[in-house]
Amino acid sequence: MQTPKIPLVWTINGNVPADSLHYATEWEITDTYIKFTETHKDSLDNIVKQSVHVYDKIGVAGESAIATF
Amino acid sequence: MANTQALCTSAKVELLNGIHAMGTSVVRAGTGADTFKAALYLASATITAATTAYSATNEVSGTGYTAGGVTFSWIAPSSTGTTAFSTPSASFAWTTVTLATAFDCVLTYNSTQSNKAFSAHTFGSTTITAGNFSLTMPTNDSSTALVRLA
Repeated sequence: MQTPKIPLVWTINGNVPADSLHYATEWEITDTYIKFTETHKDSLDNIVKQSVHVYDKIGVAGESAIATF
Repeated sequence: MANTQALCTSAKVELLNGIHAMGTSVVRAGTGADTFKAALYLASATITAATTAYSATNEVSGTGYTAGGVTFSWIAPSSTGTTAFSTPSASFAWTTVTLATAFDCVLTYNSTQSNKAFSAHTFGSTTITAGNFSLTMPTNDSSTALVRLA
């Protein structure tokens, strides 16, 4: 009988079984950016892996100004 | 047909391309684009419109992050209406990094021209733990491009 293989996740505490971690996601949506955070925590609620992805919705602008005579 | 005063739209694109020099300029090695880089800064830093050049002071540090940030290139500047604009051609990305101190800003700067500052963009306080950080660029048009001259 084969032992089921459990995927490992690389964390600051080394490779740990994926099913031993708590996975949570968070969205932050503003007028200028959207931020997606994905967090893996261990059984003691320590963050062992966290990635963040930001979508910059709008950049910066310079406005021209012309002198009038 | 009436005349209208304006900063010519073609000149705005040319400014982004480094064509006009009204003061002391630089001798260029060629006609190619300069090398630009993007560096991350701590939330405690003071990157503003007054920032003149890249500095390692208050830049993020941590496993997997190289001081100075990442190199990128711009989409060729163009214009729509009277607005000239350009955006980096790809996302800024850092993989497998740990940045434990909160950061919230990316500074783009010109590595070719003595690391002169170009633009600053903020995105809220962020930390990374053994993970990835990516900054996806806005749509490259006259309304949202990363840099615009209106």
